[in-house]
Amino acid sequence: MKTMICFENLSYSQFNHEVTNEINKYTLLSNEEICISSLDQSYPFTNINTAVFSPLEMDSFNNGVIIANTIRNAENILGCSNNSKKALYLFDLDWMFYPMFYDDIYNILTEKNIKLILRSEDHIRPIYNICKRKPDAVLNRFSLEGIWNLL
Amino acid sequence: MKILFYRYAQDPNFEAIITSINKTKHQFGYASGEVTQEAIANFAPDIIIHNIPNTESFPIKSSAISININDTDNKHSFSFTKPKSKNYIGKFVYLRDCNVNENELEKYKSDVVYIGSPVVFGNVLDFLVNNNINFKFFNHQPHNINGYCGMCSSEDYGKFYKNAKACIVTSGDDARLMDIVSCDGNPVVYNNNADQCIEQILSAINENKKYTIDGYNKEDILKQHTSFDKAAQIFKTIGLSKISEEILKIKKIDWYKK
Repeated sequence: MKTMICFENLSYSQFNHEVTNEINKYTLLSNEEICISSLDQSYPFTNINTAVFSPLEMDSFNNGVIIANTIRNAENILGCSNNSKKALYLFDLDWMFYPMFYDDIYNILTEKNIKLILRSEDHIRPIYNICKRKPDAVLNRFSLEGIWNLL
Repeated sequence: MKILFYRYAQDPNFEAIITSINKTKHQFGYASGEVTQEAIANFAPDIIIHNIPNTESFPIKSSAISININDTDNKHSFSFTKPKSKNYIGKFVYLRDCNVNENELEKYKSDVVYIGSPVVFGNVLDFLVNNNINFKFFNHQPHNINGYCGMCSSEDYGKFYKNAKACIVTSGDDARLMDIVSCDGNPVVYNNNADQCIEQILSAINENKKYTIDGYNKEDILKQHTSFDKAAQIFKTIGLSKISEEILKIKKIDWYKK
């Protein structure tokens, strides 16, 4: 499935490590159209065997799936005027690590046009506490197939 | 009349006073950081209101009346913090619109709400975080615990207070308590007795029990203890009764509109 994954940056992080491994696995063994975009165009921490686009490309990414991994990224993909399906794979509860406004968190988490996927069962309660939304799925490891099956 | 506001440091009380004065039909200027004599001369203010500490008048000489929101002993100095000061302003609330549209109600609803860091609540915090209670708290400093909902605009405080079943507050925190009462919130006061506080929270959540605090009355707060009243008091004290009356007149229009 045609998929774009949005990164905050391309440097060392658990999320980047997990997702790049998954992408490299797919691009090696299948013909799936997978690409990434990064808000911060830092030098990639590892080999990424696929195209790395500027975030501007998100706007013209049609007929596919765009996956965000943070509230900030989700805000960006929701602002795009394309017809791709949108998913938020919330790796961490962002607002607990850097200051964010409740309005922004609430508006993204209650947005019906985005599938909400959590990394851990433990994240369900804090999110339900904020906006009374239950996730569409919980995936302990980032899995493209898991996300595709959901959409 | 031309009024210049000079912000030395961010202070919510000072901002509330500025906002109230701003609603009059005078001409206003705003400054912070370095200001030149020339800039002041060009604007030619009649009144300068500033919060520079330890100064008995605005440091740049001009013919303007200097109103000092600091703790000095000058007759034109006013204090938010020293009750013993001659010109103590006292605690007050900033009038906010607490009404919420029905489609936004869910956003502001909770069982328990607190605006600030809840670490002061000790065992009550443990109880709120570890039980099935919809606890929302807001702070500019991220907290990695259940219930932390990020930051919220001061304009929304009242909406959260009004739509929570209980608004926790520590005993002696007059400013928060006045805010809660003025917005029709249900104050549950914590006075270092966690069991009692938890019991009151549970009664508020399960039995919809409402609490009142002696000495805190909504009508009284709105009548005498708003930022408009305090701004008016400042002008009256220095003999500018006309502006003082103007502010009080606006208070009525502004508040009763809502």
